[in-house]
Parts: sequence; C-alpha cells; structure tokens
Amino acid sequence: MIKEKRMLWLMTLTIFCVFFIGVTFPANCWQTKDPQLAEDFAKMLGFKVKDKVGKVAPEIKPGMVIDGNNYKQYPGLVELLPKSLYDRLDPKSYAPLAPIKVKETDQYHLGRRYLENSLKSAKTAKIAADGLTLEGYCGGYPFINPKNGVELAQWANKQYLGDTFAMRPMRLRLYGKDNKPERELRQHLNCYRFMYRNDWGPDFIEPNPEKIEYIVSGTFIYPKDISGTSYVRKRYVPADKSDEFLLFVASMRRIRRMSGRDTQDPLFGSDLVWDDYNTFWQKLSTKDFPMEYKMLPPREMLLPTFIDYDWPNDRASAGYTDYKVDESGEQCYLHYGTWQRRWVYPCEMVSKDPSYCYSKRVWVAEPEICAGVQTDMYDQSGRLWRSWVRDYNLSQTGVGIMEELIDIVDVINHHRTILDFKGHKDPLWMGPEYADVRFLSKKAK
Amino acid sequence: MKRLTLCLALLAIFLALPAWAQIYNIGGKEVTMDGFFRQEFLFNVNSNSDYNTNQTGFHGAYQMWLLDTNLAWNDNLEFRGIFRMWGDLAYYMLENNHHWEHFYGGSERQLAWDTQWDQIVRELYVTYATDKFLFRAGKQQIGWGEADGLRLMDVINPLDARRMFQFYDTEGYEEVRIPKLIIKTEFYPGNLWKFYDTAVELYWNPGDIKEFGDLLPPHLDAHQRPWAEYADKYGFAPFGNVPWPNDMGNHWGAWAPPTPTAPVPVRLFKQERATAIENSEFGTRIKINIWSTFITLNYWQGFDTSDHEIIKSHLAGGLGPGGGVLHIDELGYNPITLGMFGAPVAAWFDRVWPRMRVAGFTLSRELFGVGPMFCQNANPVLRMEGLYSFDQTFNTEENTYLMTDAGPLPISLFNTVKRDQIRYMVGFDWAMQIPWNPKKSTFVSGQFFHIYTRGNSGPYNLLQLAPYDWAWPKNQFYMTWLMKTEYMNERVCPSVLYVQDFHTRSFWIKSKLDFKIGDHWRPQIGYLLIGPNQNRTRYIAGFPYPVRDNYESFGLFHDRDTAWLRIQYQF
Repeated sequence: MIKEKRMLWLMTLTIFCVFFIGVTFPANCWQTKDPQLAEDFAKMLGFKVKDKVGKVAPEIKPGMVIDGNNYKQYPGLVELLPKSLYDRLDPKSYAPLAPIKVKETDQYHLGRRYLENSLKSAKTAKIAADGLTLEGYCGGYPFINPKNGVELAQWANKQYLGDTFAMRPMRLRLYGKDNKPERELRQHLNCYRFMYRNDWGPDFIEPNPEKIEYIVSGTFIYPKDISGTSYVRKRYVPADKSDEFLLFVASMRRIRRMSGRDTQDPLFGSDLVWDDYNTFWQKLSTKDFPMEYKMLPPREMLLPTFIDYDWPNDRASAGYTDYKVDESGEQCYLHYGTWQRRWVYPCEMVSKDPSYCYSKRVWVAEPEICAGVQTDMYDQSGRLWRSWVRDYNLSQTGVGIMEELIDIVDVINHHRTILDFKGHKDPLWMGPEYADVRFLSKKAK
Repeated sequence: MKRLTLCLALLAIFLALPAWAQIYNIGGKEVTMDGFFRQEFLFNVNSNSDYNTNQTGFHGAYQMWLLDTNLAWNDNLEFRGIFRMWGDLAYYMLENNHHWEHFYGGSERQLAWDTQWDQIVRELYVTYATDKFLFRAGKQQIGWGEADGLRLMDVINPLDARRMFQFYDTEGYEEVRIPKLIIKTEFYPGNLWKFYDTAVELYWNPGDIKEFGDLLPPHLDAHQRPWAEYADKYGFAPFGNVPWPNDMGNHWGAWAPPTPTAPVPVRLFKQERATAIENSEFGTRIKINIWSTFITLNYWQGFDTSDHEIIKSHLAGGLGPGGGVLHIDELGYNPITLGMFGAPVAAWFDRVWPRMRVAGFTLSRELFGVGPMFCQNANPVLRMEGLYSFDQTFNTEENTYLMTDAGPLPISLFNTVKRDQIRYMVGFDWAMQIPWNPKKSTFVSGQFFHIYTRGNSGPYNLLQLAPYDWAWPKNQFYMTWLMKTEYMNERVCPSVLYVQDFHTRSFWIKSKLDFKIGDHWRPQIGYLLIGPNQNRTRYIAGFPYPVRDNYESFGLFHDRDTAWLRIQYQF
C-alpha cells in the first residue's frame, strides 16, 4: 500500500516535471521551428554561429553563472565582453550587470523571403561611386559577407525589424545617478515598411512617390504631461534626403514640423537619441555628419539570448520570467534570462565632423539576423559615453522580429535608460494610414 | 462645506488613481484615463496702482482638476471626454482683505469655481476613423495655425481670458480655448499630382456660440450701483456714498483690463445667442505636402472670436431719467456729467457680435542646408501663417451731434465700421547647440507679425479695445522670441518667451522653470513681466491738458507683474 502511494507520488511528480519541462523550458530557449530554413540560412551565410564560437575563454561554459562576486575568477571574460560591459560586472560600478547565466549558443535565422531577397541582392547590390550609397539592393542582407566597413555599415543601415511592428507600449524607464527609478515614459510605437518587405504582403507598397523606405510613428501615452504627443517620421531611400518629421503637440493641439536633421538630442530626458534608435539609426550620408567605417575583426562576444513571444502575451506570461527589470533592491538590475556566446561583426564608425555628438561608435552586428546587438558611443574627447546591450524578440519561424529589452548606460553622467517593449510582431492590421497625416489626424485629439 | 468635502473626496480619488491610471480593460473595451490636480499661487509684485486696478501681493490661487478619458470601442470608433473643475481659492483666502473684497469680490460667483455644466464637461466627442475618412462630432476645440504667443489663424474657439488674461506661451491655449459643438469630417484623397499626404477637412458648428460672458471690466460694469465709481474716486456722490457693487456677477477678477476714466456707470446690453441653426459656422482646411513643405489652406466663416468685444452706443430713449445714451464726449459738453444733479444716468452700450470671414494659409518647411552654415546640427524650420479677414468689424469713436429740443448737442458715439485686414507671421524653430548647455540643444523660436488694416485712413480711429483710446495703426508689428532647454535629463526645464509690440513699444516676458520629479509631480515657478507702452500721454481735441496714463496694448496690464508657484500632481 505504501509502495503504491509512493508510486502515485512519483508518477504525479513525473507528470509535473514533464509538464514543467515541456511547457516552460521550451518557451525559455530559442529553437527554430523550421530546421530546413535554418540549414538553408547557414548555407547562405557559410557558417553557423554556434560552430564559430567556443575558442575564446573556453573555461566559461554553459550552465555557469557569472556575477560581481566571481567574475574575476574568469580572466578570459575580458575577451568575451566589450570593456563597457565587463566593467559593469564590478558591483561598485554604475548600473552593475545582473548575474550572467551562460547557455549554449543558438542558431538564429530570419524568414524564407528574407533569404531569397538576400540572394537576389547578392547579385545586384553594390556600393555606388560616392563610396557609400547602396545600389541595386533588393532586400535581405545588403552584403551576405561584408568585406569592409562600408558594406558592414549597410547592415546597420538596413537592419530589419519585420514588415510591421507595433509596440504596445514601448517603455522608456529612466534611472538617476543612484541607479534608482527616476521617471518613466511610455509610447505606442508603430513601424511600417514600404520597401524591401520580407514577411507579408508585396515586396513594395505602391504608390510610393516619395520613396519612403519605412516610417516610424508613435503616440506617447504616459506620463500626462506628454500624453497625446504623436509623430510620424519618414525614412527615405535616397541618401541625400533626410527624414521628414511631423509632430503633433498635444499641449498645443497642433501639428508641427521638426527638423529631420535634429537627430542627436536625447528624447525627453532619456539616454536615447534618434541616431541611436535600434542601436544605429543615423542616416548614412557623405555630406551630413559623414563617417569613416572600418570593419574590425569578427570576434566572440557574450550577449543576451533572444526570446520569442507575441501579442497579447508579455514576456512573463509567455514564460520568460527571468527576463525582467528588477527595481526592488538598492538599485535597478536588468535581468536577461541567459547569455550566450555569439560570433559578431564589429564596425568602428569614426565621425569626420567634430560637431557630431560622437567621435566614434563601435557597432556590433549579429550575422544571423543582420542587426545590431551591442554598441558603444564615445564623446568628442574620446571618452566612452553611452553603451547599449540588448536582446531581440525573434519569431522561431524567422518571420517577425521585434524590440525586447535594451539597456542604455551613460557612463559619464551616470544616467541610465532601459527600453522595455511589449507588442505585436508583424501585425497584419497595420497599413499606410499609420504612416502619414491620417495617423496624426486620428491622434490629434 | 459641501464643496470642501467634494474637493477632499476628489483629492482622495485622484491620489489613488496612479495605481490604475492609464490603459485598462472594461468589458473588453480599452479605456484610458489620465489627468492632474494643480494648485497655483500668484503674487503681484507691483505696488498698488493709482486707479486700484490691481491687487498687490497674493492675488490668485488657481486650482484645477482635470480628468481626460478615452474609450476605444473598436479600432475605428472612440469616445473622448475631458472633465474639469477650475477655480480660484483667492476668493476664500482673501475674503477679509478689504481691497480685494472692494474691487474683486463681485466676481466671486463667476470666478471662484467654474460650476456650469459646459465648463465641467469641457470636451466630449465621438470619433469614427477609417483609412479613407475621419468623422468627429461633439464639443471640441480646434487648434489652427502655427503662431505661438499671439493668435492669428487660431480663430475657431474663443478664449477664456479671465485668469492670466492671454499671457500664454507654447502651452496654455489648450486650457483656455472655449470648446464648441463642432462636426468635423476629414477625407484623405492620398497623393494627387505632386502633392502627397493630402487631406480635406470640413467643419460645421450648428450654431453653438460660445462666449465667456460680459467682458466689460468690473469698474465699468457698475450699473447695479449707479455712482459707485464716482463715489469711489471722489469720495462722495450726489446721493451720498454708494457701496461698491460686489454682487454684480462680472466675469473679470484680478486680471480685468483697467478702467479708463468713467465717472458714471456703464451698462452693457447684450442679447444672449442661443444654439440655433442660423448661428451656424463653417470652415474648411486643406492639408497638402509638396517639396518637403507642409501647407494648409484655411477658410472660416463664423463669429468673431477676437480677444475684444465690439460695442455700440445704445441710443434707446432720450436724455434724462429712464433713458440715456451716451459715451462721455470729448469736448466737455458732457450731458451725463451735466445730468449729475438730476436722476442717475449711465452710458449705455449694445454689444455687437460680428461675424468674420477669413481665408488663410500656414506653411512649414525645414530649411535644408542652413544648419551646417551656422555650425548647427539641426536645420531651422520655417513657419509661416497668413490670413485675409474680409469686412472685419471695428469699433470707432465718432463725434457727432444729437438733435434735441434744445438744439444740436455734440456727443461722441461708439460705432462700427468694416475694413479688410491682412495678418501674417513669419517665424522659425531651431534646436540650437548653445554653449550654456552642451548636453542638450536649446529650442529657439522667433516670430515676426505684421497686421495691415486696409482702408485705415479715414476720419475714424479704429479702436483695438473699445472704450479705450487704443487705436489700430495702419501697420501693426509684433515679434516674439522663445527659448527653452533642459538640464539634468529634463528634470529642470527653463524657458522664456519675449513678446514685443512695436507700435506701442509695450512688451511682456514670461519666464518659467519647470521641474519634472518622478512620473507624477510637475512643479513650476515663473515670472511674468509686463512693460508699459512708452507714450502714455495724449492730447484730446478741445482739452488744453494731456490725458495721462493712457495705457495701451500689453501696457494695460503693466501693474500685473506676477510671480507664481505651481504644484501639479498628474496621473
């Protein structure tokens, strides 16, 4: 009888564990739902990131947890993390990193159309005579295997965040010198792509006489003093055409045009500037704030693991409870559930114009999704100023990618902004009415 | 007591709101809710004026409760309501202050609290929007135009100027526009020829005419206590001392325009306008973009919403008891003054509510290439606004003769004439890198205004604000200069707006320090400096001595320099 009871308990425990592992754990790791596409992606790239990594600091293995108490026991970490992040392992640093849980390296990929368009672009895309402009681009990777800084800069220029996405909301969480909450802003953010679409609908939205590549529109919903403020920002394909920026100022009930060239100012007291959006959003130009682009040697780097959930879930309800912003203690910690080794392409972008806010930017690209994952910005005197690290919310089918958690630290002024997102990946209901004066008219209330 | 209880209950609810403010779900519908509680204390830093037109020291304690709600029924249909309580606690805090009670106590019923339903339910409208058109109906405000500090194209809603008059910078107008019942439709033709992002708006107000009451200053509006002002000024009256009329229910308080000499009471007759189809107003606006330029073409046909009212001498009855005319004439043959020893008389006026017809445009364009020329990161943005006002009604002061049994009597009458007027503004916005703040750009905005009144060369002075002598010149020029920036990640935001009237050489400067503390607290301190017009003496035909203290334009408020402290809790 006792044995039967024990068996019953054991079975119950087994069922619970299977359920727990089967339901919770799979949601906690990124695993492709299309193995064939993953293979085809690797074939196109010529490698899998997971095959490239593991050579630097091999003593750092999956399953380890690195924190402020033990990080000095792993001298190889210096090579696995950029200095801006390594320094934040020191518990006395400003905005110290939360413990880093290391896991195995995943293989990420984007969708089938993205792959096909990349192959088309590989045949036609080239750098124009001005040494910077991209010509013959059809979508996907501008250059599957960039050979120099300019080609890699085009990765930054063509970072892909789906055909559409809708942040509901995007939260800008601001922290002061004590790394404690200072203020928070929230906006509903929309992105609608007109050209080089890869996920749904036609490749190009027509008519598009303005040659809009994509638009970003948004409405601030919190706090009250900026609530209702809305904007539409158009990014054009022509290199010499700066963004168009229309703003509805709720406190005036009026639409105002803003300078599309005003891209270096922090937004609403945060550490986010337009040029840093999505790790890099500067309009590439040979005239306006020109840069010199230098491809640094590819390297291994420890970076947060991507996750996958979609509306109406948030990361907690989708099972990613270990991805969170913890403000309960003495100071704020941003927890990425796990980190993993990645093989990345750093690009050093040196400003040729001393009036630009940065003297230099080191932008780090993730080759399996053609997007930035970490970046450091230096002021005109050469000091590290702002540092970004981030994960992504990438669909495991490869179709649909979205912002997730971004940690921005101003190491000079000791100020921090965490961008915290929830939203729809590739919402099909979004149309061009989110991209023009119709959006502002609707929000102008 | 009931009001205090209500306030405390509201305060408790408001302070509890942060927990559930913003977006939440009610029956599957998305409801958003936010708002604020605000308390302001205002201090007049001028000494007491010779004419008792100001309240020195503490003179205002504005309190505002605002709740802004939105119900999204579905992706297309939304309902919005903005509810507000606005009052001035100075009426309670200064109830033992003799000067206050004497000169401003009479406006308590109107200004202590806005208790009318259309004041509490500030805006209420429904919006149905698709990708082809937008329909919005209900009580709402429409913000046309591009200008800050002064209004040109912003003609649809009148302003409630009772508190702080109209000394507003980039913010403030939203809170004092008086909403109207308006049906707005907007159609989106899309791209037409080289125009992109086009839209056509149509507006119809089915006769909901808003005003904010009797605009005559309290000193002039002493009709319920004839001779009161005379008694107040000279210490006696023909019938003994007359108490100051503190029950007159006027809409003006401590921000009343000062009173020109008025030794007799003034009576304003006005006909309330009801919501009626014959009072309809119409308008249209076309929005287009071309060559990176945003343009609107505007037309509006409605009632004049200028910041002044048009009056006309009331000619009912005759001279003497029970009738009465008249404005004080300029020649000294003042029938009212002569009649002092007879029955009480008053100067009678009719309020005229003229219609207006304006057509205009706004334009904004980024001035590409200008930023780098001045070592600036951002380009300036050009803003322009212009309008043509057809047959605009102006007040005139007209010397004439009244035929009486005793023969012609020289009198001076207020009358109206119609003239066309052209107004335009050219300005720029520029986020500039200025060394005093290396971390954040300073927003600089300059504007130049020109108002040209056609046909302003006849025998009449076109009065800007009857019954004041202040007249429209043929060419009127203004300029404004706004600067604002932020420090400490926007926790401290200074700003200053300077407005200059070139004709009278009066000006005002509004400087503010906004603080952003956490998500909820938004205190502000500020100072408003108002400079008088420079030429304040005027000779009147027939009089050997000049009239002194002839204040005009912003100078009318030169004794209202104000410092204020605002405490605001938002959720």
